[in-house]
Amino acid sequence: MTANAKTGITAAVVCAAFSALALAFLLDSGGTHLHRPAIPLVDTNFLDKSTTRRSYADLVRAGADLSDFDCYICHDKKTPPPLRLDTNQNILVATEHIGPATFSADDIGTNDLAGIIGRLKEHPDPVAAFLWQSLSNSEQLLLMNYRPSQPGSKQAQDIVIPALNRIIAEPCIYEPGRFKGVFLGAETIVHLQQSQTGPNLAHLNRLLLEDAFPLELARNRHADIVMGHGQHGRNNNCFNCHNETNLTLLQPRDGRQLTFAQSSQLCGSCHGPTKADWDAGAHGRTSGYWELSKGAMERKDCVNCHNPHYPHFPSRPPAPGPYPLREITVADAVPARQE
Amino acid sequence: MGRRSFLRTSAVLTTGLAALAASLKPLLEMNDFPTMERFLQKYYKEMTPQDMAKVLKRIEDEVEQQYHLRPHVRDLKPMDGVEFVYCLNLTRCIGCRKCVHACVAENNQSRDPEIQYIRVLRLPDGSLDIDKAGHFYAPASVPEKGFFYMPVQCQQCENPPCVKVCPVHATWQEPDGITVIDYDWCIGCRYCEAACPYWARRFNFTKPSTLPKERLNLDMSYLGNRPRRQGVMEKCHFCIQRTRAGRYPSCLEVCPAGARKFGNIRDPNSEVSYILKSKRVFIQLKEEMGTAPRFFYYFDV
Repeated sequence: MTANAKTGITAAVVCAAFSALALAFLLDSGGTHLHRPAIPLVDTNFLDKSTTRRSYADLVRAGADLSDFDCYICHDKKTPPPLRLDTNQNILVATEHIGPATFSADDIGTNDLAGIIGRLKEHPDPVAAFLWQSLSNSEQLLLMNYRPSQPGSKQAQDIVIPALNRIIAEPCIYEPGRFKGVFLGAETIVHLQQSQTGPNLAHLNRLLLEDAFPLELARNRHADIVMGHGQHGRNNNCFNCHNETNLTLLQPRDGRQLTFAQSSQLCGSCHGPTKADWDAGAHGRTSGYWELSKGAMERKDCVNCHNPHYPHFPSRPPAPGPYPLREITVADAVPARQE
Repeated sequence: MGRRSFLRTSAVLTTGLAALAASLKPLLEMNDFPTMERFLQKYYKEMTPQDMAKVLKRIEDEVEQQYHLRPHVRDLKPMDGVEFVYCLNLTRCIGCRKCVHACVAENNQSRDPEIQYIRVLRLPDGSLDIDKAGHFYAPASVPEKGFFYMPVQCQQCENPPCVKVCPVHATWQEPDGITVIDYDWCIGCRYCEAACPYWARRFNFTKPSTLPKERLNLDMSYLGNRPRRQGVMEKCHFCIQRTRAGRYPSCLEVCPAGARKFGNIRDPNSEVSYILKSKRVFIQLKEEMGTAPRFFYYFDV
């Protein structure tokens, strides 16, 4: 074979190889596309600009049903409501409107469910650990995989509610060690000292569960009053804030008489620095226009975000985080805790 | 020409042409050829009001063609005597990420691929070490015990490194303190992304997703939330279409905890003036970079 022929063959082979490569590139053969699930649109709940609660002033403005605030439907105008005290001289919040002891689906909203499941999963306290152990393995697994923004909350609800009702039907769940650190309501303490049989027992167990999960399980009781104002329970007295002779008024300690719509003044009578911040706009929610010549600015009241009887800001499920292109490692998701 | 040399030449030619065609293949996927109008468009700062009116009409037409909805595109100018400042209360932030999604909805960002201007960092209590932060947290409810949350977005620096590196001046600082991007002038070199110490700039690597009609915000502005194209940079602009019209930004409106505060620092009676005067304001993030952010983090206690 001559050198010329060799060159010719080599050139032909190289040409063929390049043509094949160019063709393969054009047809995109051998290319692997990154397959990842499509990112769903975010739930419109997370775009909602409304406040955590609706204040009395909001309800008046919206022309909503105010019968919950009409004290004199039940109370007599001339006689102030009697204060019932338990053996420790704590005030008993009226227990009217209490239905059956068992929980129903209406008692537990989506946010509440997420809160309960979150605590059950992590069971940082003995009560949550006790509830967690009462679940079967398959139920535990289902709850472990629960994500609030995904469907399947019905299924989770079907696990949580029967589990709670099972516990209510059991003998008294109270043990000092288990409920250490749980702020027990005055009513619970009274019930603990009474006979623990039949409906009383179920009621006591429910109260205990409500005390252990005050944010999630507390139900419409005297307009869902759960007392938890302050760290030491010293402010859980109705007439610290309400006027005992006229139930439609509020009264700060300085003797002013305020309507429900002026409740922020009452809060400010104790929480001075926070009130100063709120007045200046550094605390609380504002919306509308920062430039007052262009439109109105709206400043929300204290009770738009805080429940005056239980002012701790409620927790909520977070909106979905960023969708990563690769698997998240544990180190990304949970940074090292400083001990 | 001999038979052999003809064959050789034609083989080389075929290979060369095929290789050229293959290398030009990405052009086949390009479906957004600039119109002559867009191609000849002037630089933002050199446009006369008549030029701008034409450009705004062009953008409205383009959006209408794509979505069959007529947007209202404006070019709002900075107000006199206004300098925007953002304050964020770290004591109040609960890490719910509502601001992230309100921002995405307001500014017509691409959903898939995902482009978000705000990144909520979760840090363990007792430290401000960004190395310990994570942003993929997904607990059942927030806030979590032992952690606090720090949302980070464009800090609208007074001395912005991103502006200095732009080779075509497609990004600059406006008199009211907002660093803006002209999406029609950006060449997509991503120098600004590399220069930003706050990871605040986002690049459209692929064509941004088409939004469902009901999620499209029709109140648009030229430097703000008009739809972007593949290959341009974008970032937080303090909701320029809202704030220059006197309104609060969208992330502030949606915050359930009232942790976000916004206003005019040159007005001594504004909320932000009060906060900077009387609250415990933690340094601006990465203060040592000398960027002088207009975004301040503060505490209640």
